[in-house]
Amino acid sequence: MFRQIKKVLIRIYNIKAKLIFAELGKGSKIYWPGEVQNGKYMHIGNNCYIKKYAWLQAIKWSDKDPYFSMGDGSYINRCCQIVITSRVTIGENVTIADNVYIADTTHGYQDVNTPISSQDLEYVGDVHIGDGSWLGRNVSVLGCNIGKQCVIGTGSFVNKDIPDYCVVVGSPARIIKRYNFETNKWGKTDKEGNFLNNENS
Amino acid sequence: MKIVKKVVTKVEHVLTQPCFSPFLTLYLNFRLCKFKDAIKFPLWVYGRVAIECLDGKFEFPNGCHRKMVSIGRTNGRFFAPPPPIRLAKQIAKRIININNKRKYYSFSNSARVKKGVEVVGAKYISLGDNVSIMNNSFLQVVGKTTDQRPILSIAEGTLIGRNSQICALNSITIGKNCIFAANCFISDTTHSYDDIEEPVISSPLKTLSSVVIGDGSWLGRNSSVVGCKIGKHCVVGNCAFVTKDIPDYCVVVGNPCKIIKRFNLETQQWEKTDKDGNFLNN
Repeated sequence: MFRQIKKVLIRIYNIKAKLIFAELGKGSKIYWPGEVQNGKYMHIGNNCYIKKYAWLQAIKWSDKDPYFSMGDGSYINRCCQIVITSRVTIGENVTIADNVYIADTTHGYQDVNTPISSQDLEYVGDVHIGDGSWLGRNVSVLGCNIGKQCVIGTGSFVNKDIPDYCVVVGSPARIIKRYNFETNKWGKTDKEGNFLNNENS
Repeated sequence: MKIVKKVVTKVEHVLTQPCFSPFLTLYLNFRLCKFKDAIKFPLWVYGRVAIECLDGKFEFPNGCHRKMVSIGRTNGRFFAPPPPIRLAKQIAKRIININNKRKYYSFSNSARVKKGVEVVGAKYISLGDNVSIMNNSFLQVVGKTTDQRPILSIAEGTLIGRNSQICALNSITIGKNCIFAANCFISDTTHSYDDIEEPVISSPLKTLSSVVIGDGSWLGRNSSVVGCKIGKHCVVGNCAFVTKDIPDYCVVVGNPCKIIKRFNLETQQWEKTDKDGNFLNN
Protein backbone atom coordinates (compact mmCIF):
# COMPACT_ATOMS: atom_id res chain seq x y z
CA MET A 1 0.00 0.00 0.00
CA PHE A 2 2.62 2.54 1.11
CA ARG A 3 4.97 1.35 -1.58
CA GLN A 4 2.36 2.01 -4.26
CA ILE A 5 1.66 5.48 -2.92
CA LYS A 6 5.41 6.13 -2.92
CA LYS A 7 5.66 5.00 -6.54
CA VAL A 8 2.85 7.34 -7.56
CA LEU A 9 4.50 10.22 -5.67
CA ILE A 10 7.82 9.56 -7.42
CA ARG A 11 5.98 9.59 -10.77
CA ILE A 12 4.42 12.95 -9.99
CA TYR A 13 7.77 14.29 -8.83
CA ASN A 14 9.38 13.13 -12.08
CA ILE A 15 6.74 14.86 -14.18
CA LYS A 16 7.62 18.00 -12.24
CA ALA A 17 11.33 17.31 -12.82
CA LYS A 18 10.76 17.25 -16.60
CA LEU A 19 9.59 20.83 -16.36
CA ILE A 20 12.54 21.84 -14.19
CA PHE A 21 15.41 20.46 -16.29
CA ALA A 22 16.37 21.55 -19.78
CA GLU A 23 16.54 17.93 -20.87
CA LEU A 24 15.61 14.71 -19.06
CA GLY A 25 16.07 11.42 -20.90
CA LYS A 26 13.88 8.35 -20.94
CA GLY A 27 13.88 6.18 -17.82
CA SER A 28 15.75 8.72 -15.69
CA LYS A 29 14.64 9.05 -12.10
CA ILE A 30 14.99 11.85 -9.58
CA TYR A 31 14.22 10.86 -6.00
CA TRP A 32 12.39 13.05 -3.53
CA PRO A 33 13.51 15.01 -1.48
CA GLY A 34 16.27 16.74 -3.44
CA GLU A 35 17.19 20.26 -4.38
CA VAL A 36 17.79 21.72 -7.84
CA GLN A 37 18.68 25.34 -8.47
CA ASN A 38 18.45 26.73 -12.02
CA GLY A 39 17.60 23.44 -13.70
CA LYS A 40 17.30 25.15 -17.07
CA TYR A 41 21.06 24.75 -17.59
CA MET A 42 21.11 20.99 -16.88
CA HIS A 43 20.98 18.22 -19.48
CA ILE A 44 20.43 14.69 -18.19
CA GLY A 45 20.63 11.56 -20.37
CA ASN A 46 18.71 8.30 -20.46
CA ASN A 47 18.46 5.84 -17.55
CA CYS A 48 20.15 8.15 -15.02
CA TYR A 49 19.49 8.02 -11.29
CA ILE A 50 19.76 10.93 -8.88
CA LYS A 51 19.07 9.70 -5.35
CA LYS A 52 17.55 11.66 -2.50
CA TYR A 53 19.09 14.67 -0.74
CA ALA A 54 21.24 15.41 -3.80
CA TRP A 55 21.85 19.12 -4.37
CA LEU A 56 22.49 20.39 -7.91
CA GLN A 57 23.36 24.05 -7.90
CA ALA A 58 23.87 26.08 -11.10
CA ILE A 59 24.92 29.67 -10.53
CA LYS A 60 25.02 32.25 -13.30
CA TRP A 61 28.02 34.31 -12.28
CA SER A 62 29.31 35.85 -15.55
CA ASP A 63 27.79 36.48 -19.02
CA LYS A 64 28.43 32.87 -19.98
CA ASP A 65 25.68 30.38 -19.17
CA PRO A 66 26.61 27.48 -16.89
CA TYR A 67 26.35 24.04 -18.46
CA PHE A 68 25.83 20.66 -16.81
CA SER A 69 25.39 17.34 -18.59
CA MET A 70 25.12 13.74 -17.48
CA GLY A 71 25.65 10.81 -19.86
CA ASP A 72 23.45 7.74 -20.23
CA GLY A 73 23.31 5.27 -17.34
CA SER A 74 25.13 7.43 -14.79
CA TYR A 75 24.32 7.24 -11.14
CA ILE A 76 24.48 9.96 -8.48
CA ASN A 77 23.97 8.64 -4.96
CA ARG A 78 22.57 10.27 -1.87
CA CYS A 79 23.71 13.58 -0.34
CA CYS A 80 25.91 14.62 -3.29
CA GLN A 81 26.51 18.26 -4.09
CA ILE A 82 27.42 19.61 -7.52
CA VAL A 83 28.21 23.29 -8.03
CA ILE A 84 28.27 24.65 -11.58
CA THR A 85 29.27 28.12 -12.68
CA SER A 86 30.78 27.39 -16.08
CA ARG A 87 30.92 23.76 -17.20
CA VAL A 88 30.63 20.35 -15.51
CA THR A 89 30.16 17.22 -17.61
CA ILE A 90 29.74 13.64 -16.46
CA GLY A 91 30.29 10.80 -18.97
CA GLU A 92 28.36 7.61 -19.56
CA ASN A 93 27.99 4.83 -16.96
CA VAL A 94 29.70 6.78 -14.17
CA THR A 95 29.08 5.68 -10.56
CA ILE A 96 29.19 8.38 -7.92
CA ALA A 97 28.88 7.23 -4.29
CA ASP A 98 27.41 9.10 -1.31
CA ASN A 99 28.57 12.51 -0.05
CA VAL A 100 30.58 13.42 -3.16
CA TYR A 101 31.29 17.09 -3.83
CA ILE A 102 32.03 18.28 -7.37
CA ALA A 103 32.68 21.94 -8.13
CA ASP A 104 34.39 24.21 -10.64
CA THR A 105 34.70 27.23 -8.33
CA THR A 106 35.85 28.20 -4.88
CA HIS A 107 35.35 31.24 -2.70
CA GLY A 108 37.86 34.01 -3.20
CA TYR A 109 39.72 35.20 -0.10
CA GLN A 110 42.06 37.96 -1.40
CA ASP A 111 40.45 40.86 0.44
CA VAL A 112 41.18 40.58 4.16
CA ASN A 113 38.67 43.17 5.32
CA THR A 114 35.48 41.68 3.86
CA PRO A 115 34.10 38.34 5.02
CA ILE A 116 34.74 35.45 2.62
CA SER A 117 31.05 34.71 2.23
CA SER A 118 30.45 38.09 0.60
CA GLN A 119 33.49 38.01 -1.73
CA ASP A 120 33.35 37.01 -5.41
CA LEU A 121 33.51 33.38 -6.45
CA GLU A 122 36.77 32.29 -8.06
CA TYR A 123 36.78 30.12 -11.18
CA VAL A 124 39.11 27.10 -10.95
CA GLY A 125 38.56 25.02 -14.08
CA ASP A 126 36.06 22.95 -16.03
CA VAL A 127 35.28 19.48 -14.73
CA HIS A 128 34.90 16.40 -16.87
CA ILE A 129 34.50 12.86 -15.54
CA GLY A 130 35.20 10.13 -18.11
CA ASP A 131 33.07 7.16 -19.10
CA GLY A 132 32.81 4.21 -16.73
CA SER A 133 34.63 5.82 -13.80
CA TRP A 134 33.87 5.26 -10.15
CA LEU A 135 34.10 7.91 -7.42
CA GLY A 136 34.14 6.56 -3.84
CA ARG A 137 32.47 7.94 -0.75
CA ASN A 138 33.36 11.44 0.58
CA VAL A 139 35.42 12.31 -2.53
CA SER A 140 35.71 15.94 -3.57
CA VAL A 141 36.66 17.02 -7.10
CA LEU A 142 37.68 20.63 -7.66
CA GLY A 143 38.15 21.99 -11.18
CA CYS A 144 39.94 19.14 -12.96
CA ASN A 145 39.40 16.41 -15.52
CA ILE A 146 39.20 12.73 -14.66
CA GLY A 147 39.83 10.20 -17.43
CA LYS A 148 38.05 7.10 -18.58
CA GLN A 149 37.53 4.06 -16.33
CA CYS A 150 39.27 5.61 -13.30
CA VAL A 151 38.81 4.52 -9.70
CA ILE A 152 38.97 7.22 -7.03
CA GLY A 153 39.35 5.93 -3.47
CA THR A 154 37.28 6.86 -0.46
CA GLY A 155 37.86 10.27 1.05
CA SER A 156 40.32 11.56 -1.56
CA PHE A 157 40.58 15.15 -2.71
CA VAL A 158 41.27 15.54 -6.45
CA ASN A 159 42.58 18.86 -7.79
CA LYS A 160 44.85 17.76 -10.65
CA ASP A 161 44.02 16.22 -14.02
CA ILE A 162 44.07 12.44 -14.03
CA PRO A 163 44.70 10.35 -17.20
CA ASP A 164 42.68 7.33 -18.32
CA TYR A 165 42.74 3.97 -16.50
CA CYS A 166 44.14 5.06 -13.10
CA VAL A 167 43.53 4.26 -9.44
CA VAL A 168 43.84 7.34 -7.26
CA VAL A 169 43.78 7.76 -3.45
CA GLY A 170 44.67 10.24 -0.72
CA SER A 171 44.37 13.92 0.01
CA PRO A 172 45.72 15.47 -2.23
CA ALA A 173 45.14 12.59 -4.62
CA ARG A 174 48.05 10.65 -6.09
CA ILE A 175 48.14 7.79 -8.59
CA ILE A 176 48.92 4.37 -7.09
CA LYS A 177 47.90 2.00 -9.90
CA ARG A 178 47.58 2.13 -13.67
CA TYR A 179 46.45 -0.29 -16.36
CA ASN A 180 49.42 -1.71 -18.27
CA PHE A 181 48.47 -2.34 -21.91
CA GLU A 182 51.58 -4.50 -22.54
CA THR A 183 50.77 -7.07 -19.88
CA ASN A 184 47.02 -6.34 -19.81
CA LYS A 185 47.04 -6.05 -16.01
CA TRP A 186 46.75 -3.36 -13.38
CA GLY A 187 50.26 -2.51 -12.16
CA LYS A 188 51.51 -0.41 -9.24
CA THR A 189 53.13 2.95 -10.04
CA ASP A 190 54.96 5.80 -8.34
CA LYS A 191 53.47 9.27 -7.89
CA GLU A 192 54.11 10.39 -11.46
CA GLY A 193 52.52 7.29 -12.95
CA ASN A 194 55.59 5.26 -13.97
CA PHE A 195 55.31 1.53 -13.42
CA LEU A 196 57.39 0.23 -10.50
CA ASN A 197 57.79 -3.37 -11.61
CA ASN A 198 59.06 -2.54 -15.11
CA GLU A 199 62.39 -1.27 -13.76
CA ASN A 200 63.01 -4.39 -11.71
CA SER A 201 62.17 -6.89 -14.46
CA MET B 1 -26.72 21.23 15.78
CA LYS B 2 -26.53 22.09 19.45
CA ILE B 3 -25.66 18.49 20.33
CA VAL B 4 -22.92 18.40 17.69
CA LYS B 5 -21.47 21.64 19.02
CA LYS B 6 -21.49 20.28 22.55
CA VAL B 7 -19.70 17.10 21.52
CA VAL B 8 -17.13 19.01 19.47
CA THR B 9 -16.39 21.42 22.29
CA LYS B 10 -15.97 18.54 24.72
CA VAL B 11 -13.57 16.76 22.37
CA GLU B 12 -11.63 19.98 21.84
CA HIS B 13 -11.51 20.52 25.57
CA VAL B 14 -10.08 17.06 26.16
CA LEU B 15 -7.59 17.39 23.32
CA THR B 16 -6.28 20.82 24.24
CA GLN B 17 -5.83 20.35 27.97
CA PRO B 18 -2.47 19.24 29.30
CA CYS B 19 -2.83 16.01 31.22
CA PHE B 20 -3.21 15.81 35.00
CA SER B 21 0.04 15.12 36.82
CA PRO B 22 -0.68 13.18 40.03
CA PHE B 23 2.73 13.15 41.69
CA LEU B 24 3.23 16.93 41.55
CA THR B 25 -0.24 17.51 43.03
CA LEU B 26 0.49 15.12 45.87
CA TYR B 27 3.82 16.76 46.60
CA LEU B 28 2.67 20.36 46.34
CA ASN B 29 -0.41 19.82 48.50
CA PHE B 30 1.49 18.29 51.37
CA ARG B 31 4.41 20.71 50.98
CA LEU B 32 2.42 23.96 50.88
CA CYS B 33 -0.80 23.38 52.84
CA LYS B 34 -1.62 22.35 56.38
CA PHE B 35 -2.30 18.64 56.80
CA LYS B 36 -6.00 19.32 57.46
CA ASP B 37 -6.43 21.06 54.13
CA ALA B 38 -3.99 18.88 52.24
CA ILE B 39 -6.18 15.78 52.61
CA LYS B 40 -8.89 17.53 50.59
CA PHE B 41 -6.44 18.26 47.70
CA PRO B 42 -7.27 21.93 46.98
CA LEU B 43 -4.30 22.30 44.56
CA TRP B 44 -4.64 20.49 41.25
CA VAL B 45 -1.64 20.49 38.84
CA TYR B 46 -1.75 19.92 35.10
CA GLY B 47 1.13 19.28 32.72
CA ARG B 48 4.76 20.10 33.39
CA VAL B 49 4.95 22.98 35.85
CA ALA B 50 8.34 24.53 36.49
CA ILE B 51 9.04 25.31 40.14
CA GLU B 52 11.48 28.05 41.11
CA CYS B 53 10.87 28.69 44.81
CA LEU B 54 8.53 27.19 47.40
CA ASP B 55 8.45 29.79 50.17
CA GLY B 56 5.31 30.55 52.19
CA LYS B 57 2.15 28.53 52.78
CA PHE B 58 -1.42 28.31 51.51
CA GLU B 59 -4.19 29.13 53.95
CA PHE B 60 -7.92 28.57 53.46
CA PRO B 61 -9.79 30.48 56.25
CA ASN B 62 -13.25 29.85 54.78
CA GLY B 63 -12.69 26.15 54.16
CA CYS B 64 -11.66 24.40 50.95
CA HIS B 65 -12.67 21.70 48.48
CA ARG B 66 -11.11 19.56 45.75
CA LYS B 67 -9.76 21.32 42.59
CA MET B 68 -10.12 24.73 44.20
CA VAL B 69 -6.88 26.03 42.65
CA SER B 70 -5.81 24.60 39.32
CA ILE B 71 -2.24 25.19 38.13
CA GLY B 72 -0.85 24.79 34.59
CA ARG B 73 -4.25 24.77 32.92
CA THR B 74 -4.39 26.57 29.56
CA ASN B 75 -7.05 27.83 27.21
CA GLY B 76 -6.70 25.93 23.96
CA ARG B 77 -2.95 25.67 23.75
CA PHE B 78 -0.72 22.62 23.68
CA PHE B 79 1.84 22.72 26.43
CA ALA B 80 2.43 19.03 26.94
CA PRO B 81 1.27 16.45 24.39
CA PRO B 82 -2.26 15.59 25.52
CA PRO B 83 -2.98 12.00 26.56
CA PRO B 84 -4.84 10.84 23.43
CA ILE B 85 -1.99 11.84 21.12
CA ARG B 86 0.58 10.25 23.41
CA LEU B 87 -1.43 7.04 23.46
CA ALA B 88 -1.79 7.08 19.68
CA LYS B 89 1.97 7.46 19.31
CA GLN B 90 2.62 4.50 21.57
CA ILE B 91 0.13 2.35 19.69
CA ALA B 92 1.66 3.34 16.34
CA LYS B 93 5.11 2.39 17.66
CA ARG B 94 3.80 -1.03 18.72
CA ILE B 95 2.30 -1.62 15.28
CA ILE B 96 5.53 -0.59 13.55
CA ASN B 97 7.48 -2.92 15.85
CA ILE B 98 5.22 -5.86 14.94
CA ASN B 99 5.83 -5.11 11.27
CA ASN B 100 9.59 -4.86 11.87
CA LYS B 101 9.65 -8.18 13.74
CA ARG B 102 8.14 -9.84 10.72
CA LYS B 103 10.59 -8.19 8.33
CA TYR B 104 13.94 -8.57 10.14
CA TYR B 105 15.81 -11.77 11.04
CA SER B 106 15.67 -10.68 14.69
CA PHE B 107 14.45 -7.38 16.05
CA SER B 108 14.49 -6.44 19.75
CA ASN B 109 11.47 -4.66 21.22
CA SER B 110 13.59 -1.77 22.46
CA ALA B 111 15.44 -1.21 19.15
CA ARG B 112 14.73 2.05 17.37
CA VAL B 113 14.86 2.59 13.62
CA LYS B 114 14.24 6.25 12.89
CA LYS B 115 12.57 7.99 9.99
CA GLY B 116 14.07 7.83 6.50
CA VAL B 117 16.16 4.70 7.07
CA GLU B 118 16.49 2.57 3.96
CA VAL B 119 16.84 -1.16 4.47
CA VAL B 120 17.65 -3.71 1.77
CA GLY B 121 17.68 -7.42 2.58
CA ALA B 122 16.11 -7.10 6.05
CA LYS B 123 15.75 -10.87 6.43
CA TYR B 124 19.51 -11.17 7.04
CA ILE B 125 19.74 -8.32 9.60
CA SER B 126 19.54 -8.76 13.38
CA LEU B 127 19.29 -5.85 15.84
CA GLY B 128 19.86 -6.22 19.62
CA ASP B 129 18.40 -4.40 22.63
CA ASN B 130 18.50 -0.59 22.68
CA VAL B 131 20.08 -0.35 19.23
CA SER B 132 19.21 2.92 17.60
CA ILE B 133 19.69 3.74 13.95
CA MET B 134 19.36 7.45 13.23
CA ASN B 135 17.76 9.25 10.30
CA ASN B 136 18.61 8.62 6.65
CA SER B 137 20.97 5.71 7.28
CA PHE B 138 21.23 2.90 4.79
CA LEU B 139 21.53 -0.77 5.78
CA GLN B 140 22.18 -3.01 2.83
CA VAL B 141 22.69 -6.75 2.52
CA VAL B 142 23.30 -7.45 -1.14
CA GLY B 143 21.85 -10.95 -1.07
CA LYS B 144 22.84 -14.59 -1.22
CA THR B 145 25.73 -14.91 -3.64
CA THR B 146 27.47 -17.96 -2.14
CA ASP B 147 26.20 -21.01 -0.21
CA GLN B 148 26.87 -19.20 3.05
CA ARG B 149 24.09 -17.08 4.50
CA PRO B 150 25.05 -13.36 4.70
CA ILE B 151 25.01 -11.84 8.21
CA LEU B 152 24.63 -8.28 9.44
CA SER B 153 24.32 -8.29 13.24
CA ILE B 154 24.37 -5.26 15.54
CA ALA B 155 24.71 -6.06 19.27
CA GLU B 156 22.94 -4.26 22.10
CA GLY B 157 23.39 -0.61 22.97
CA THR B 158 24.99 0.43 19.69
CA LEU B 159 24.14 3.82 18.18
CA ILE B 160 24.52 4.42 14.45
CA GLY B 161 24.60 8.07 13.41
CA ARG B 162 22.82 9.91 10.67
CA ASN B 163 23.49 9.27 7.04
CA SER B 164 25.78 6.28 7.60
CA GLN B 165 25.87 3.28 5.34
CA ILE B 166 26.52 -0.37 6.14
CA CYS B 167 26.93 -2.60 3.12
CA ALA B 168 27.34 -6.36 3.62
CA LEU B 169 27.96 -9.12 1.11
CA ASN B 170 29.37 -11.81 3.41
CA SER B 171 29.36 -10.92 7.11
CA ILE B 172 29.55 -7.81 9.30
CA THR B 173 29.30 -8.04 13.09
CA ILE B 174 29.24 -4.98 15.34
CA GLY B 175 29.85 -5.35 19.09
CA LYS B 176 28.10 -3.98 22.16
CA ASN B 177 27.83 -0.28 23.07
CA CYS B 178 29.61 1.16 20.02
CA ILE B 179 29.05 4.73 18.86
CA PHE B 180 29.16 5.61 15.18
CA ALA B 181 29.11 9.32 14.31
CA ALA B 182 27.37 10.66 11.21
CA ASN B 183 28.43 9.70 7.66
CA CYS B 184 30.20 6.47 8.59
CA PHE B 185 30.72 3.78 5.99
CA ILE B 186 31.30 0.11 6.70
CA SER B 187 31.52 -2.56 4.03
CA ASP B 188 33.11 -5.86 3.17
CA THR B 189 32.86 -5.51 -0.62
CA THR B 190 34.18 -3.36 -3.42
CA HIS B 191 33.55 -3.07 -7.12
CA SER B 192 36.11 -4.95 -9.18
CA TYR B 193 37.72 -2.98 -11.99
CA ASP B 194 39.96 -5.58 -13.69
CA ASP B 195 38.17 -5.54 -17.03
CA ILE B 196 38.72 -2.15 -18.66
CA GLU B 197 36.23 -2.74 -21.47
CA GLU B 198 33.31 -2.85 -19.07
CA PRO B 199 32.23 0.16 -16.98
CA VAL B 200 32.74 -0.24 -13.24
CA ILE B 201 29.03 0.06 -12.57
CA SER B 202 28.22 -3.24 -14.32
CA SER B 203 31.29 -5.30 -13.33
CA PRO B 204 30.78 -7.90 -10.55
CA LEU B 205 31.32 -7.25 -6.82
CA LYS B 206 34.43 -8.52 -5.05
CA THR B 207 34.35 -9.95 -1.50
CA LEU B 208 36.93 -8.81 1.04
CA SER B 209 37.53 -10.31 4.48
CA SER B 210 34.63 -10.06 6.93
CA VAL B 211 34.33 -7.00 9.18
CA VAL B 212 34.28 -7.25 12.99
CA ILE B 213 34.07 -4.19 15.25
CA GLY B 214 34.80 -4.78 18.96
CA ASP B 215 32.80 -3.76 22.01
CA GLY B 216 32.73 -0.11 23.04
CA SER B 217 34.49 1.34 20.02
CA TRP B 218 33.91 4.80 18.60
CA LEU B 219 34.05 5.74 14.90
CA GLY B 220 34.40 9.44 14.07
CA ARG B 221 32.59 11.43 11.46
CA ASN B 222 33.16 10.56 7.76
CA SER B 223 35.27 7.55 8.69
CA SER B 224 35.13 4.38 6.64
CA VAL B 225 36.02 0.79 7.45
CA VAL B 226 36.51 -1.56 4.52
CA GLY B 227 37.28 -5.24 4.90
CA CYS B 228 39.14 -5.37 8.25
CA LYS B 229 38.77 -6.08 11.95
CA ILE B 230 38.79 -3.44 14.70
CA GLY B 231 39.46 -4.47 18.31
CA LYS B 232 37.83 -3.56 21.62
CA HIS B 233 37.52 0.01 22.83
CA CYS B 234 39.22 1.61 19.81
CA VAL B 235 38.85 5.21 18.67
CA VAL B 236 38.82 5.97 14.95
CA GLY B 237 39.37 9.66 14.09
CA ASN B 238 37.52 11.94 11.72
CA CYS B 239 37.85 11.08 8.01
CA ALA B 240 39.98 8.03 8.78
CA PHE B 241 40.06 5.27 6.19
CA VAL B 242 40.72 1.91 7.84
CA THR B 243 41.83 -1.02 5.67
CA LYS B 244 44.18 -2.91 8.03
CA ASP B 245 43.36 -4.93 11.14
CA ILE B 246 43.67 -2.93 14.36
CA PRO B 247 44.36 -4.47 17.84
CA ASP B 248 42.49 -3.62 21.05
CA TYR B 249 42.71 -0.21 22.77
CA CYS B 250 44.10 1.95 19.93
CA VAL B 251 43.58 5.46 18.58
CA VAL B 252 43.70 5.57 14.79
CA VAL B 253 43.69 8.56 12.41
CA GLY B 254 44.42 9.51 8.80
CA ASN B 255 43.91 8.32 5.25
CA PRO B 256 45.33 5.62 4.99
CA CYS B 257 45.09 5.11 8.75
CA LYS B 258 47.95 4.76 11.23
CA ILE B 259 48.02 4.11 14.97
CA ILE B 260 48.99 7.17 17.04
CA LYS B 261 48.09 6.14 20.57
CA ARG B 262 47.69 2.93 22.51
CA PHE B 263 46.66 2.00 26.04
CA ASN B 264 49.68 0.84 28.03
CA LEU B 265 48.52 -1.97 30.31
CA GLU B 266 51.65 -1.68 32.52
CA THR B 267 51.31 2.02 33.36
CA GLN B 268 47.52 2.08 32.88
CA GLN B 269 47.68 5.16 30.64
CA TRP B 270 47.16 6.13 27.01
CA GLU B 271 50.59 6.70 25.45
CA LYS B 272 51.82 7.86 22.04
CA THR B 273 53.23 5.29 19.63
CA ASP B 274 54.95 5.12 16.23
CA LYS B 275 53.28 3.70 13.13
CA ASP B 276 53.82 0.05 14.08
CA GLY B 277 52.33 0.52 17.53
CA ASN B 278 55.54 0.58 19.66
CA PHE B 279 55.52 3.05 22.52
CA LEU B 280 57.72 6.13 21.96
CA ASN B 281 58.83 6.73 25.55
CA ASN B 282 60.24 3.24 25.99
